[in-house]
Amino acid sequence: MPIRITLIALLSLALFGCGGGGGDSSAPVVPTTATPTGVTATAKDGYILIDGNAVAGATAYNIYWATGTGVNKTTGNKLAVTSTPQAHTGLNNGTAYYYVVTAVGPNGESTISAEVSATPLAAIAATDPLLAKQWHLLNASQVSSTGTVAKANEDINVTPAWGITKGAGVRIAIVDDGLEIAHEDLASNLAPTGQSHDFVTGGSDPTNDPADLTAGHGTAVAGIVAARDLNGLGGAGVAPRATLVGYNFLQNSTSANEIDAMTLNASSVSISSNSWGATDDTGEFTPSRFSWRNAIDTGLNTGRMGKGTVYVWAAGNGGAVKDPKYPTFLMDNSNYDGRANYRGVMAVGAVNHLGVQSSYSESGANLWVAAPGGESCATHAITSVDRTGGVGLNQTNTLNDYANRNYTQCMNGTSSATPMVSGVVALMLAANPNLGWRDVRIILAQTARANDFGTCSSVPAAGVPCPATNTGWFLNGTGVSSATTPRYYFNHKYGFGVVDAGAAVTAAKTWVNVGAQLTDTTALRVVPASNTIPDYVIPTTANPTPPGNAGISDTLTVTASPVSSIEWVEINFSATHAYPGDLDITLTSPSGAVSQLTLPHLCGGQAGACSTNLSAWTFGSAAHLGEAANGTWTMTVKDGLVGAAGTFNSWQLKFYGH
Amino acid sequence: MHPSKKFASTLILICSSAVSLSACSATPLVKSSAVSNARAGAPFTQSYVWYDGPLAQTVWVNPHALAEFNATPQSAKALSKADAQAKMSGAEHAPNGLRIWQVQQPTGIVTKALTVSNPTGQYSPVFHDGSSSSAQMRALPGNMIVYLNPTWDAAAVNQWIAAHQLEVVKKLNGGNNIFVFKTAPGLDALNKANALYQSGEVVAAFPDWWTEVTTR
Repeated sequence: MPIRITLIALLSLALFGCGGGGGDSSAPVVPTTATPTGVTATAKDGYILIDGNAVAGATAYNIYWATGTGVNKTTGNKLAVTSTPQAHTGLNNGTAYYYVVTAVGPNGESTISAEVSATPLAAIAATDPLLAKQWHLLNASQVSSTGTVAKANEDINVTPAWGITKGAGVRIAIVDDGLEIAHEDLASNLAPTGQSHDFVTGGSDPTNDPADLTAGHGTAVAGIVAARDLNGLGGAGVAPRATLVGYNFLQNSTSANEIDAMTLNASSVSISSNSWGATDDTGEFTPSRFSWRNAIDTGLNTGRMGKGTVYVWAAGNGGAVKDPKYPTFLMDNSNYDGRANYRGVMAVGAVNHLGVQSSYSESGANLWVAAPGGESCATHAITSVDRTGGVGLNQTNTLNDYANRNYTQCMNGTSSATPMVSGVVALMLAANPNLGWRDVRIILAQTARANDFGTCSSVPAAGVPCPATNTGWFLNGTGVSSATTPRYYFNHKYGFGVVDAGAAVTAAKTWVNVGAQLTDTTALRVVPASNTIPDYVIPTTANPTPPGNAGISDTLTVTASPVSSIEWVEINFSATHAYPGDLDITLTSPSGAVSQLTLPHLCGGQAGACSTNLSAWTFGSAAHLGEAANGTWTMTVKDGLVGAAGTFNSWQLKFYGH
Repeated sequence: MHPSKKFASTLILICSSAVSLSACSATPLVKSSAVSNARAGAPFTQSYVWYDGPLAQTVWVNPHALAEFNATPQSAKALSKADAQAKMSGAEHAPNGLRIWQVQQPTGIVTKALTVSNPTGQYSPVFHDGSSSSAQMRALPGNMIVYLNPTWDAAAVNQWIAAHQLEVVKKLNGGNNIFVFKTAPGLDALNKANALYQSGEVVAAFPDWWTEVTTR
């Protein structure tokens, strides 16, 4: 049953919170004992504290526990207690324990509470002194050095996964500006000498040039993935026993080096973590190139002994408003980046310490998942390793950073979110090395945690977002096609949600590989005459809804497609427009699910022009995962800014799936 | 990581649709004179074509920028001599000695002077993928990448290379029979790659571009 567990739990809480209204008011009222609410499980060294809100009239509580999810009165082991908090002692560190609680009163035993879980751990905080600062791993409402409080549980839920694996045996390539391979908190997780690569000298040490005082990005990225745990140093990586190799491609970013960076040691490298891309905040459409796509395809087809290298990619940091004069102009969308929107990579967006989209993180229909990227040192960023000494990110003049300058709490960006997902993938592959690259993607989508419900406590019902504060979640066509097939919620800010390491690793253990990938490409659809995109007209009292502002639409119908469950949609689009930043382009699936492909924005920063007329652009969409290809698809092109016109020429869809 | 971006304000979207972000555009986007003026910025005019696999792509030359590879203190002096107004754009880009210079005189004149004053220097025009400087920047450090027929055996490959008198720099991993061949920096790489691709003898041929990419 692939509906996300977290959603189920939240729904349960919401239902109990409604007070059980409704029903037949004429029926006799049978007194019952209220179900406990606010139940929590807090991990300690060798034991777990269980707590919850007191239930009026209760004389005792029963705590039911198990080491697998789905605890109930029948399957769980019972602890009878008279009050909470209650310590459940004698537990194995590293094992996940699951709990439900009932209240017992004069009217009998209540129904069970929502399930909670925790994994007792050895005194890691004592041996990894910065672990307690790493809210992205375990968010316990940490307070930053500037007094900003994080929101509890807005993390990647890694501790249950660590009870299963810490990533040993999985190798991750950090493609970045360097990697200090001798760093005290990384060295023991580095691959043997000779496996990393220096793209400047051709050697095997990608450590930054000592004369370069500011570079340190790649080292911090590496620490997020796999800083060593239980060594008395720094914090811990998401996969703290995985193996790292470093490729300092950004120091010499030629086409040949890019090919090498994507394919070096492909048989042994399981994951390629890429926290880089074309320059952000330009509003430009920057395509990927033949050589890069060819290299990615090579990795997918031949990497990891044919199971495919898993490419993880930063969605981009250009998602903020660039010019306050134009407060509705978000600069970049991840779909304007031809690498991040390629079907062979997973684009990762960033959330902050409150579990909502980081101020800079780019939205896009191409986003797969999100992970913590934080905001800034002034609020809450990410704690990781830094180049040794007073160089790199934590220099002597850096705001609010640690006194130990081998570490930093100022790493951030989709650069930080990306290695978190890479680390989760490492845990998944350690748990099940037979997963193919497509299996990894689908598991992450199915287990990701929907976040950011605004003032609603959860998605209130299948496919019906909270009406008060719709933060962008929608249930795609899988919600109506069949009740027995996977159902996917999608949000252009988060993809399928924030990665949940515990759920992903648990699912990975028993996952059955998806079948061979199928593709289906439609014929090129040439838009008929009258394909002019009307220029935007400012509404007036006399003309409140100018008809041209609705844009133009074109449809194509897919029949007899072999793709019954879409994994990715590639959209080849052609317009001729003097300023494609004007355009608002959407693709609507047969079910009515909408991929927002562009939004009106400024090209060229604040003082430029669009460098393309969008005559040949490839968009990508994850939003239709699980939907069928068959049916009528609609492309709509609107103009959102006065002053330039154009035509919508043609489009074509390519479906990837099974 | 871009700390400078973190203080930018966040747009709060107000939506009314369950399934479309299109309904989330908070207010209509209205053209202003500032945007109009921005659009009127002078575009680059000189362009070249290269072949990104089978696709012809246009790049535009930035008339007042010059890329220098493997820069040395001597080469910086030579550049100052060739164009007294030359300024390095930002910091040195990478440890491989790449520098992007903003020059006052047309780059052709500067490059010609440099061939005399610094004959060992490695220079390239600065290109952009669009006609404005906000489009991705690229330059030609030398060498070209050629995808030969992937079914050719070693003997056929060697015969072809010998016939074309090419010097192999390295063989690449991304598939069968992908090679880096030596060329001079600058337009030599572009011209030779284009000629090879247009000959129809190869699957793909393009310069070993340096492109501007950044951390996120």
